[in-house]
Amino acid sequence: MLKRLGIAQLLVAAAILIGTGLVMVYSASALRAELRFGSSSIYLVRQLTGLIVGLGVALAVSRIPMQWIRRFGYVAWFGAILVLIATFSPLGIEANGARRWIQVGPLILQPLELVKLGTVLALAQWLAAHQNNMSDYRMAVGIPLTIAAIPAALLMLQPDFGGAMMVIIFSVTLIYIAGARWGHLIATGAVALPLLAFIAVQRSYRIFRLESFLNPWADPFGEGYQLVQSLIAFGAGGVGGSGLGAGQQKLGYLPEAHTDFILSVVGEETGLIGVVIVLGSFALLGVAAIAIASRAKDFHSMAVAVGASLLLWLQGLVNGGVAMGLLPTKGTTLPLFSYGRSSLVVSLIALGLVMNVARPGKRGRSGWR
Amino acid sequence: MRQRRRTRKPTAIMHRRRLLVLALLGIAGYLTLAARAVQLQALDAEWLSARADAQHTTTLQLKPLRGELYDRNRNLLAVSADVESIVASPKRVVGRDTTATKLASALKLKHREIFDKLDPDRSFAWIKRWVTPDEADRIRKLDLPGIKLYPERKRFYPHRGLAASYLGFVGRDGEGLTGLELAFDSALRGTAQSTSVLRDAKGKKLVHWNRDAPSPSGARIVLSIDSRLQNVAEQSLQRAVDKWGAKHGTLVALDPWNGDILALAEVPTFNPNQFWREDSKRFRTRAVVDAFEPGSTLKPFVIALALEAGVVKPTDRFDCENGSWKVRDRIIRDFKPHGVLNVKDIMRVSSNIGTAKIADRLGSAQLVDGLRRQGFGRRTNSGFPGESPGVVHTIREKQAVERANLAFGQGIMVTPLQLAVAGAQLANGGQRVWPRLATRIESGQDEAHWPAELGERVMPEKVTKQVLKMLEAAVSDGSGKGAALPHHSVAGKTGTAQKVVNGRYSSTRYYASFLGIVPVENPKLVIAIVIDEPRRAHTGGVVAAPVFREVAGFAVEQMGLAAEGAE
Repeated sequence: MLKRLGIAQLLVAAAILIGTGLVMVYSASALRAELRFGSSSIYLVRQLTGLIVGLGVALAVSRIPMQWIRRFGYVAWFGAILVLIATFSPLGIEANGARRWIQVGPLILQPLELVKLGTVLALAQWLAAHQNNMSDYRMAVGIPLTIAAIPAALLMLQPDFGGAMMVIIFSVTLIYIAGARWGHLIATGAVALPLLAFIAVQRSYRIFRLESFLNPWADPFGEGYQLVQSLIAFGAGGVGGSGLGAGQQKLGYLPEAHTDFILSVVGEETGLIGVVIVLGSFALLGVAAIAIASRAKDFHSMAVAVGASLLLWLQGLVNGGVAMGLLPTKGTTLPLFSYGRSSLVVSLIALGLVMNVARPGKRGRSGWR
Repeated sequence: MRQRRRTRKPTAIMHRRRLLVLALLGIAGYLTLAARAVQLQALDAEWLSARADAQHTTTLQLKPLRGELYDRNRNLLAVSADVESIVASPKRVVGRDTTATKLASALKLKHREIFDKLDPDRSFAWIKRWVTPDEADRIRKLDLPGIKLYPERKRFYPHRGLAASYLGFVGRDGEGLTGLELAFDSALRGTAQSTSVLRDAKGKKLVHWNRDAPSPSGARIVLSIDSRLQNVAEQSLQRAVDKWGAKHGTLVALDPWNGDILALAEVPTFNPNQFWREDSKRFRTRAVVDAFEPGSTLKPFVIALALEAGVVKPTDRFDCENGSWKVRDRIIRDFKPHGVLNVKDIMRVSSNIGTAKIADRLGSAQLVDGLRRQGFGRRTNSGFPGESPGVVHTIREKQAVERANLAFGQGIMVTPLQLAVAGAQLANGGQRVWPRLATRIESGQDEAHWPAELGERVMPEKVTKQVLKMLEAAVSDGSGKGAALPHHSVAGKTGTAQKVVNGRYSSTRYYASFLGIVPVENPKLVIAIVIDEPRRAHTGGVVAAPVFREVAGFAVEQMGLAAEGAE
């Protein structure tokens, strides 16, 4: 299965997502932009600037010699953590009771995206360096989990439980791919999962989210509001959709229509057909990236490709699951697709990393020039 | 064994196997999402999209602008316009005290009052309704959180107090409350159109209003009233009320040929533009809703009935007993003592004894039935809200005292409008008059005209001519001299009725009334005047008749009413 997939499928899927994403961002944000700024295209223009910058960075990243990237793994991780700490400084912006953003001049940045990327690169560096010691719990699981746990703990302080979970899941996936022993993984999980569950219960608002996730219709105008509105959007679209731009849910009913819940707008305006195309593109992107990883010239490249691909397809999976009420509400962007320049640029960097791995190396059969 | 495991390096095959597991997990995840999408968008779609429609649409009521009221000459009497009110969402107010202070100075209201209204437990409060454009601008500039301008409509009466009680007024929410505004409420309001429109999550209607499109509007109503005559009537009545220190004055002017109410004045009047500040006693249109004892103004109708029945002739003579006549245990008195008088003179000098003796010949049954046939004791069907039918009791033949009293207008209650209608029936030769409030209704392209027909015959024409001759003499050489006009003949009858106070006839409180018709030949105008409790003088001839002279004089001389040919 993995043999026939490669860079061509990866780029086609990415192109579909980026192109459709721009259209949907405009559709979902036009009214909001018109009302707030008097110009319906302001979000689209911002997204386009992010796209141009991001494509440039992605192309550059895809050309950087992999040894350089390997050398800078820990540096990237440390840098991301510094940015994350900056959210607690006066640079941080508090919104909805959480400090998840920092403002540098005119730029508003979400450090979470950088943290995911930095953690992936650091873990790739560590796990590649210790491939010979994968039977050693400390080398294969203990230290890699610590590398993940430091930013995850900081994220929980924001508080951003979902973001922390994403970093942990990414890390566990990489540890698994690296060849950690099943026994170590299960034993760690047996200790860590109850701990995470305890932390989750500690904060009452997460319980509310869990309850509203389990039965959003119990309180459709309170805790369940966002999810109910999202489900209504999907249902209103039906199979064929209401037509591009014709959706109603984005008219203030659906919070974050142009960001975290953009898939609901896709569902309403393009129907089941559009949703399946978007989901299919993400699946294709993920499988193509894993296929590229499986042909990587060494484990570091493999880990970079897999880790970077997780930023795209695993996050897409979580975003879709949230929008359709299969996962508890948690704000995650839809990579390459939803509005948000820091998310878009980091997604494109991840794409660039996968493209880098796909370049012909010593083992490369299906490389690109 | 342990040693070998610890040093084992993951092979490329193991990496690929684990990658494959990851890819399969990813595919499984996306297949799950796709299955969920099918569930939401195909299986549950109907239910969910019904919920979507329910929250996306709202019904917009296009409330028409209330129609205008015009007088018979197309002078505007009432018109609706858009105004603004100040409303508050106290929950959204930032700084209750400072907000109240700013509002108080901008709207000239009391700080305390506004502060109380801004109770943060409330989600809505009216701060001030129907503010002036200046006040609205001041509030707009303040731009206080939680304080908004709310578009409303207000009724304006450009002539202020003119015909105020008759026209009535409109409540805060656009409903006719009294008078003609209430009588024609549904036509004036028009038909509200409702249309389904999209709304956003805040309930804001997403509809672009095309200002060129003609908005639906209520019907325009052309009233029978003549605002010039109305104005003169109100001024004249007011002068009389002031001069004699009376409580109230009422005047009804009718066209005897079609029942048009040409003037209906109540004095003192009020300003309907600010009705909430006015004394609500003034809102009564007493001409229609209140009945009074007419006294001598009823005599022409009693004498007409006797003439019609053939029990008396105009030349028949009656002994007026020198002003004092005993009926059973009661003594009937005349204002001035008279000897023997014929019927014509009885009317001219307004002898109670003479009229009582005429009624004696007529009998109770014929008297009561006849008065009822002429319209007393029943509504005139004017359509005016709250119209009183008055009171006409049935009298047995043995009840000589009651019959005698009824002959000169005691023990009967009539409305000024009934009196005017009965006078109009005398004036037009004896045909039933239906009072007409309005002549036409215009709704969009449609027009509806009120019929201007006279009803069935209620008196023989010959009798009405005879009575008019007698009434002419009553003005030219009798009790109603004060009503005489220099160039036109006037027929009229005065009335001075003691008011009933605590079940007894008062000797100090009176109704002074006058019923007049002008000109005698081919009458054009019938006016009934009632002055309530004049104090410095109390007779109809002194108090009420001059009002007739002024109003009728204006009508015939300034409006040229009598100069027009017969219709």
